[in-house]
Amino acid sequence: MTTSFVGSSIQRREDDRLLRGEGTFVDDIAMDNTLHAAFVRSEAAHALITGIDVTRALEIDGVVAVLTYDDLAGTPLAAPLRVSQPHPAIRHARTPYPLARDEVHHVGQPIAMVVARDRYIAEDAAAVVHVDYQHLPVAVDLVGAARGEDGPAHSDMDGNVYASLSEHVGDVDAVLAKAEHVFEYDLRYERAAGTPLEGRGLLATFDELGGRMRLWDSTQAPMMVCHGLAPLLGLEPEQIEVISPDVGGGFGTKAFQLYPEEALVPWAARWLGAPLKWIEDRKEAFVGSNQLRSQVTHVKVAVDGEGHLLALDVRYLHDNGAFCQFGILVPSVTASELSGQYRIPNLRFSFDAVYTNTTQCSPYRGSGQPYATFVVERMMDWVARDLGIDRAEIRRRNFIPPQGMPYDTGLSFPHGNRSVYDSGQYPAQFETLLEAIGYDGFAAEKAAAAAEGRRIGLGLTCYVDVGGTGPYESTKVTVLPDGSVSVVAATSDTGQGHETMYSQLVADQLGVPMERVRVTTGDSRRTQYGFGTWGSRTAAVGGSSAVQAAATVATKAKAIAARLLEVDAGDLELADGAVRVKGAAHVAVPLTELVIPARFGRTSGGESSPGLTAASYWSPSAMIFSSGAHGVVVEIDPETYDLNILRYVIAHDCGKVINPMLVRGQVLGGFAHGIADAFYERRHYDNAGQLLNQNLMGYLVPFASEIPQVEVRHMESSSPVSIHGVKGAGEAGSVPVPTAIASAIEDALGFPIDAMPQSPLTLFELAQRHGR
Amino acid sequence: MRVSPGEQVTVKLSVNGIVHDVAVESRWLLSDVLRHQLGLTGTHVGCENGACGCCTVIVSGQPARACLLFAIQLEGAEIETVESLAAPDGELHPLQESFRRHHGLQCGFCTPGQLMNAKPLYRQAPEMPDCELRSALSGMICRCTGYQGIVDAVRDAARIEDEREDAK
Repeated sequence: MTTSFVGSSIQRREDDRLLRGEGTFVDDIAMDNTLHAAFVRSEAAHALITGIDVTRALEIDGVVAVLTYDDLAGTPLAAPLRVSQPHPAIRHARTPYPLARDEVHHVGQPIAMVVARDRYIAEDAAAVVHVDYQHLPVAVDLVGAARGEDGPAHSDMDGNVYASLSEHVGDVDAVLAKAEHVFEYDLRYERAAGTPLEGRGLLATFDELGGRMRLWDSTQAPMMVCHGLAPLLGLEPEQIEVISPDVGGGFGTKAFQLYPEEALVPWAARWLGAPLKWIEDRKEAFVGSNQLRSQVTHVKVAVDGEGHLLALDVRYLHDNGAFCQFGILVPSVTASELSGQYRIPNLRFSFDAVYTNTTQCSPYRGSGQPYATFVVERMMDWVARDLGIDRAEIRRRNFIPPQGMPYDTGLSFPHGNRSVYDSGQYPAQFETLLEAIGYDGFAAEKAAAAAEGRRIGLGLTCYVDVGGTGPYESTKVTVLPDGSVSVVAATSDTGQGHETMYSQLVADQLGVPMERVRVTTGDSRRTQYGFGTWGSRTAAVGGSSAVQAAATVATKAKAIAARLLEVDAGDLELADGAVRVKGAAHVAVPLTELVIPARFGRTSGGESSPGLTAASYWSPSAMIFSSGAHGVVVEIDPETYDLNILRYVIAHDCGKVINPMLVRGQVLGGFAHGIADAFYERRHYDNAGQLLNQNLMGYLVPFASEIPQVEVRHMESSSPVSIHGVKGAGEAGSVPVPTAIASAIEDALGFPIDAMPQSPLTLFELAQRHGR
Repeated sequence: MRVSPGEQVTVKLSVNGIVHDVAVESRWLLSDVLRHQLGLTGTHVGCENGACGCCTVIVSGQPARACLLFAIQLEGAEIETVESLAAPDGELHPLQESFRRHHGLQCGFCTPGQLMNAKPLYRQAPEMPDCELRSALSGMICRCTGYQGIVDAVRDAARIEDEREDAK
């Protein structure tokens, strides 16, 4: 192989159109005679609907239809949406009807859909649909809901716990009973949300003659939407074209399916016989798009006198909002990483998943992982404190060593895998971090600052981050008649630069220039089997399938060329758009001349399928884990309790790197989400279940002025699981940040930080409580 | 002039140097008129209440949020959108080129607004301390990049422009 694009910071192929304003986001697509939808959404967190009056709405000129539950009777949309991530532990599955039937369970739940000539008119009409509510008890607080003191969130349930799961390794109780030291801690994390800048969006059109539905959907998982829609529309997946065009960020929010609107808009487009568009506005996004993060935990840990972890018992509550379409995915992900980077021979978790009358939850960048990191790493700081051992030293004593890899935590991971760490160099990574953040000199630095009346603190955290989540991902690679190469991947790009990434991988395998590779992602017209872009999985799993498909094409090309050139296939290589003899580049056949022989199967040298084409449905045989360590020095203003980040270091190992620029982009972008999660963003609900900050002025997404510069140190432990050694980088930047910030604030202020996010107000209140 | 709800009146909108006669209702936002009446879909809409900055365009020399302006107000104003940035021969504006080099965009949804917001200030950016530049760029949300690429891009654009001038 002469070319090597993998490993280079190649500039993005996506950028040119996006910089010129020539991207194609859903709302940029215009079709003649398009109708526009707006939704009437519940204003009550929990209520019975006693009446819906649409009379005034229908009187408005330009209104085409107003649909309520009754209009869906007899159709597949009259049933609750499916649980798309089922699990045997779910005892009380509750999912929404696309339009509420008789009971609403959170503010923002769709009750009626208005269709009109334009969006302005649709919103006018939605505003005059009158809904009568009979209010019911509301569950908002997670602990109160779990105890059954609040709610129930669903009037047909006695309490709010819908699923419980427990798992253990070793004998936790026996070790806790006789250990030298047992400590107990409580921790809490609050609600936030992915908040992509482009809201969700849909444009559906049904071709009656061809019997085909086409849906442009701002989604991370178009293939899942395609298969999810099929039974609702009474069509085969092959008849449903789900296209994810340019997508303005996702962060998990758009990996969910199906949202009620995702079912209603295509169904109504067919029913009305006209293209139908719905573009989520920001207020809808705040109440109608999924959220995440609220969990409450009690930890019991047994250690010996030297701080070695002997047993860990973690009990937690997980708030899933009003419904459980994604089952218990998030708390299960939390569970799978409760070993952190450490050897813990005896481990047990048990969680209750709980309904509240708030917007539904599903993964947001990191899913349950930020919480696992928070629990394990705050615990490490506190055990060190309680034993009088240095914070760095206690971690050194417990790390899983590189020679211990692969390491089986004994825990399960959702989708049937075991939580086995494939590789990593945790101790070396940590020492790199300590050196870069200046850990050894920090005590003197802190004392000098204190002498000036300044409060500074250093925070530390390690983390693992799952990358190569299965079950599989698909890519089809084809050499086209003109010698260019088509790559069709089932994943969907939401800003990561997949067109560039896939081009690099495939160009290397086939020895062609990158500009000869054309990439199609997220288009169910081209492939229907795949899962989408979430869980830091595309480069590792989608990338492996691309490499495997391209390698198969290369093998086919060599087999045919070997016959034509009358040489052994083993002596051939692909380079410069041709198959040539190694060491004799002039003995070569261009790829273009292999396309026709390949298509006539019998001359293709006994290959199993015709054509210079191959599809791969590559499955990881085990889990893939990235890892890293974060260190931060903060200063807290003694008067205002504002946070100033003085320096931040990320030591990061995501395996083999395909494009360092793109990985850095993922890490820094994730980092900003982490800072947001630590100190700025929180969805505030009042006791009545009303979201108090329903816009970007009340919900504080950080600006450039809040995000500091970061020093990133890359390490590379190639994954033995993925074909190309890649692990995944999408979430790792954000997962550990709130934990590192909590650790640093605690160091600066001298009282425990056991809840996140914090803010100047909460720190002030904590300081009062601790008499500072 | 009094305009009834639902009534359309024709205004002359100067957008990227071209004057359009556009029939608008009084409540139509500039962002909607640019996108849906004039087909200039490079201006994106992120929040419709002026908080995110995605829809930033330049109105008579100053960055302005197109979701906070009614098209009917803007007769006589000079409106510039992202579509005006590249040269007529297609060459990217130095700011656009700098965003590309410094990985100042990922999903690209906020990018047109970031570019238009930075346009009046990028010549001064090389002299600005980091905190001052970040403060000048605040009010514009980017949910993907973590801002470092954007800050680097705005700081480096003037140099790219000067290099191009020197090469001519």
